[in-house]
Amino acid sequence: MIKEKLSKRNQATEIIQLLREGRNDEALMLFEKYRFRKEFIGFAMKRNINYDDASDLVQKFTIDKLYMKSNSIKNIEFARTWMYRVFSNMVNDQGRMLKKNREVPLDEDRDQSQAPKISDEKSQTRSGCVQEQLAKFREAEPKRAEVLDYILLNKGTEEIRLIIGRSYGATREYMSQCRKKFRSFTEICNEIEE
Amino acid sequence: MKNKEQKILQDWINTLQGNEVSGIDSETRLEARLLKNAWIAENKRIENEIPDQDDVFYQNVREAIAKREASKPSKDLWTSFFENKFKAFLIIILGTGFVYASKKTYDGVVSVANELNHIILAKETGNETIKNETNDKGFWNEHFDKHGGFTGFWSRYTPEEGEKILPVNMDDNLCSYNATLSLENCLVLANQYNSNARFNLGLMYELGVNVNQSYVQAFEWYKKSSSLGNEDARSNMEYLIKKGLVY
Repeated sequence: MIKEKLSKRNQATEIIQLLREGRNDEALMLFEKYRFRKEFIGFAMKRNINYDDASDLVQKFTIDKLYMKSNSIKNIEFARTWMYRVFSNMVNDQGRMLKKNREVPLDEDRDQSQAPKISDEKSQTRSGCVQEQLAKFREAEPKRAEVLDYILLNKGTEEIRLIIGRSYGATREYMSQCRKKFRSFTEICNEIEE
Repeated sequence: MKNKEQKILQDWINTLQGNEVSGIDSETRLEARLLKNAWIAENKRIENEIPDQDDVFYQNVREAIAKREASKPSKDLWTSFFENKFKAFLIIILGTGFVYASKKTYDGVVSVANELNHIILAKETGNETIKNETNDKGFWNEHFDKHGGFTGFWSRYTPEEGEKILPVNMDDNLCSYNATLSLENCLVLANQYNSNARFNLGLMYELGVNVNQSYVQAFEWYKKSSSLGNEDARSNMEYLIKKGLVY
């Protein structure tokens, strides 16, 4: 597992290195090959951004940040962390912009296609219930859900610390709070038997 | 956080990340596994919405990068120089220091030159023929003074051995360097268009020898002397002006 984590980190470093050398085409090829585009689009979509917007956001990130600002990365070993931090900020900005410009439609006209599907009824299985609660958790606690994503993406505490900009102890505490908060969401699923 | 909580958190994280964990609480393990399964299912659902290869995406990125590269202005010398602000600041400071030091050195050299040019010896007032000034001085006269000193930068006048800086009373009636510089005698000679007598009058007024010191009077007599072609009088006039003693 450790090998995989290191290699993923090295992949990002390799892409940044190629961009710095001016080999843009090769860098873009690796960006697709290492599935970074999918990863980032998925990351944005988990934060309630639809596919088109997420794709535009990743495109903007590739041009404005990866291509233009790749020289400003201080420690190239943490290139993947830097990419996540920058992209996460862009997603937050996009969310804020959408919130500002959003016109709240009347209840009957509200488009439900983009909203995550959360059924009010209890699921038949416990795993289904947890899936629904995860979607609810994302809506209610987007920042904590982001940290859960980082943990599940095999990022270590040091890397998460750099992304969220806290001290090591504070990050551990925050991760513990995320776990407890999520557990409070999934308490209702405990009643369902597999 | 307590150690127990730390251990539970670490076990939970390890289970989520698929690492081997021993001695974990069964409830925590189940909780972690359920979360991981839910996350994988969610990821799969999202991944299905994302196409594997998006050529339009890369085409747009390539076009935008090409556009950016084309619109980049070519760096000229000044742009590249001022990109590094620290370097520019350092060079400006050094440049300013160099200019300041040069100015100070130049001022020092000029003041030394002025002092050297200042003639404070009275002249002989023997039979003098008035020479017409000619533009063509010749190489020797132009670059060397009467003592043979090089005057390419400034003329040097160093008193020879035996020369006295101030006039000595030899009890004669002439207005010369080895006689009493009396105002009456000097005025008689000065009115006879003797340039050296006029120069000596200027010197008397400048130094206050036998007369009340007056730089204005001194300047006037130097001017009269230089009008007769006396170079030393002209030099002393410049000295008075540069020192700010007149005007």
